[in-house]
Amino acid sequence: MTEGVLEGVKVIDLTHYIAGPYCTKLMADYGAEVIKIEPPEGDPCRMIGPFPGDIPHKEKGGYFLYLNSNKKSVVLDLKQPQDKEQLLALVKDADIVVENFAPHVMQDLGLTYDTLSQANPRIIMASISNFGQTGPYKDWKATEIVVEAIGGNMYVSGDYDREPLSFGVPLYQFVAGQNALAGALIALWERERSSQGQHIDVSLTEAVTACLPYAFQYYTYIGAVWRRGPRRRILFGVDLWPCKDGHVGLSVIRSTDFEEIAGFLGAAELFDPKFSTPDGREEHYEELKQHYLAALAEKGKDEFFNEAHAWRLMASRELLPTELLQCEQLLDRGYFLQAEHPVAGRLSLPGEVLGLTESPASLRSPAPLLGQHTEAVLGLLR
Amino acid sequence: MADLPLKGIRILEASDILALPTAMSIMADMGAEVIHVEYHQRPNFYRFLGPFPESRPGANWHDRSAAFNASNRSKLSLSLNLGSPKGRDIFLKLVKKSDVVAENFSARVMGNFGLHYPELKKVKDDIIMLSNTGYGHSGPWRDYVGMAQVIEAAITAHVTGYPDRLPGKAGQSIMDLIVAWNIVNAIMLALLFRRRTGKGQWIDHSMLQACIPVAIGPLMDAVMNGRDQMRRGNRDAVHAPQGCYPCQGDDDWVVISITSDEEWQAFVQATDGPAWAGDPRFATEAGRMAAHDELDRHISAWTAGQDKIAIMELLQQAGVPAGAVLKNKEVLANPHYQARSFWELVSHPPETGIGARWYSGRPFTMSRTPGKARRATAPLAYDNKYILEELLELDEDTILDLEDEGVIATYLTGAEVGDMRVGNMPGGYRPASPTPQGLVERGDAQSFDADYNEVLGQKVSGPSAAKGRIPLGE
Repeated sequence: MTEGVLEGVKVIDLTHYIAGPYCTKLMADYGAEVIKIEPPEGDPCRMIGPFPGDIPHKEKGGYFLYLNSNKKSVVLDLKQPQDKEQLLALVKDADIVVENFAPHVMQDLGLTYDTLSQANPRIIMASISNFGQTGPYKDWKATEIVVEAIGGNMYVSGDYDREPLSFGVPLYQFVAGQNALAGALIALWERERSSQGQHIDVSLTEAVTACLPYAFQYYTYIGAVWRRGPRRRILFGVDLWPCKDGHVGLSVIRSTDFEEIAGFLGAAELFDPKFSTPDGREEHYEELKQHYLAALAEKGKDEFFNEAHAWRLMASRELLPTELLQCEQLLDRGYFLQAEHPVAGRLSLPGEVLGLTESPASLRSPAPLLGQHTEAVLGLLR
Repeated sequence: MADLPLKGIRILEASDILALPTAMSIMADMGAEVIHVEYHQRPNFYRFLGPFPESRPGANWHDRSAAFNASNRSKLSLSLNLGSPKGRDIFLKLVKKSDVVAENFSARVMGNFGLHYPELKKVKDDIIMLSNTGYGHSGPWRDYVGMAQVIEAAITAHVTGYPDRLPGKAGQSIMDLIVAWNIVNAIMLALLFRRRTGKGQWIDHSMLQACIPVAIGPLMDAVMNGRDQMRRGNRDAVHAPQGCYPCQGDDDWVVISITSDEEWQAFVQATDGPAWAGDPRFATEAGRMAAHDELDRHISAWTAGQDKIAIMELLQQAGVPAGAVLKNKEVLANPHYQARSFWELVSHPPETGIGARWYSGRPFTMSRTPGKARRATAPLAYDNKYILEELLELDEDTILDLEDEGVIATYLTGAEVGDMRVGNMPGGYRPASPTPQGLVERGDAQSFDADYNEVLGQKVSGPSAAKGRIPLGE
């Protein structure tokens, strides 16, 4: 058993749903002691599906079971003065507090960074919220699609002739969790020098904006309002197209790639010199598309993916979730770890996310039952 | 003022494209000294992408590409051919003086250079090396090329997109950004581990493994129920209504996302309780979900002809989650972003002719050691002198020899730039430089403003620097 990187680091986890829990989940995976404080009714994430057999159950939620493995669950009602005192006692010898309430909540509870740092000047606090801790929108409500809209992602996503599009998964919740982790780890590094903690403010909307590498530069460099473009008119960009049993794609990166694509697909029609240049391919787009889709229709996705790489082409294939679980590459690298949960049973969960070879992630315990560690953790305080 | 938090950490970066450069740029903002190594004949692909200032590439276009400049600030630039014995030698000398080496070549490249982890460890025992590839350095796919779009196809495309169309993608190279933030975290953990144990390590970072958690919902459905979820467009799985609705203006939209019966009632009130909204079927989540198409028609009829910002503010004040779909210039000008000083005006060296431009801040703010854009993206080879003369203490003759042999290059213009290429692209490359009018005609831009530099307060003719408010529309 290798040592966990964050062994000896104690985290008080006041998070719920996805963004905060993903941050503390990574801390827990890499060895931190994460004490998850839940209200008496539990983290609402417990009631987000999928559930086995679609039957809602607070110990069987798919998101919860992944996001909270390796953590301890302690139930506290922070509106009760004595429970709040117990929280402050926990904070006294903790290193990190993470929370993702609306900004007014911690304030209303009297648990601001200033209060916590008076109890423990070394405490690092990371706050994740939809719009950040300051600014005119700070008390606004949001869901994933709202932050994608305001952050600038939706306007550049989707098809030219349709409404702007958001991701099919709450992707930026995870990104904000990553961002909060970065702030917390950098603060932990810095604390060795200064012996002081600090407060980290993560805004989900800004997380969206920071994930757009050059959409804004189209305006700051040439004044153009970049939008979701026509389906690229080039067949060999980022898009996926139907093959015999799924969806696949090929990209032209190098100038000779198209010849190799034609060779790989073995379609005589593609060797026509009028298709040999990018301009030619754009000009004869519709005709090329017909030949290309006809050639793809002959190929199965597995065969396509492996053969294209033998030609050293950049190939994409859609992997359905059930296929991802069977992906030979992930299985070969031992990506999925097995959890034994007392209520939900045996589960495959993603393991090594960061790629550390000397101090990898471990799965030490499944997601906790609600309040499972209340006695054990609070007993130590008495 | 406290020192930047990563002061004293030196990182050697050998990279291409977007993910690793972005990660290293953030670490440089936080105080690490990042030496960005590029071979001048095969520099980063993003140097070729543009757009270029005022659509003018110029003789030194490789230093003027917005896509490159947006993801490489705060670093030092060194030109070096790692494929030559002398280049390798210089790299190893730098490894000896560094804490971290980060690279994102295909799995076999660093080995071919004689620069894989065991070689680095020989010269510096506690070195941390990060290798980023699509699928990792082991396993049957280790040599497969995996860029962001390929990873997106594998993880989120199936559940993203319009239900009546092909699997879709969203954002711009989103998986590269998830990878970037993951790399920062991986390196920070390795540094903390080294501090505690004295041990360095190799980080075998796989983009596929890094990004899978974002799709944990569909994945857990597969784990628990053996089921593959399908894409739902902009709708939510359980709450209704949620969608993107048309507004007054050219390609203007607002999203509305109602997650409870209370929010539905608040929405009805805010819209002055139209007759259709009183339908008892709409009082429950299940009823609204069953009638989603019908609700979408009613809501679209209400939003059409109204201003998207006004709708957003009206609904937010009523406690209903709503957001205008902001265009790039609207996010730049947005009062909330302005109040939080999210954008940073960064001054480029005068020889680049770029002037001062606004760039995105960091996705986390630290109260005591906030970090900053320390300098603009360096022109290629800008810091050769400091690195070779001061850091490595090479004498002038040695440096001149290295230059004669093409191991390094100094500031490049004209003909030398013409030798640059991507992959096996022929020499003499001139980058495309679409005009904003051209982009509108092609459909890639909705509109353009000729006076954007004045609107943004960007001084493009001379140096200037500031952080904070963009004087937009004032």
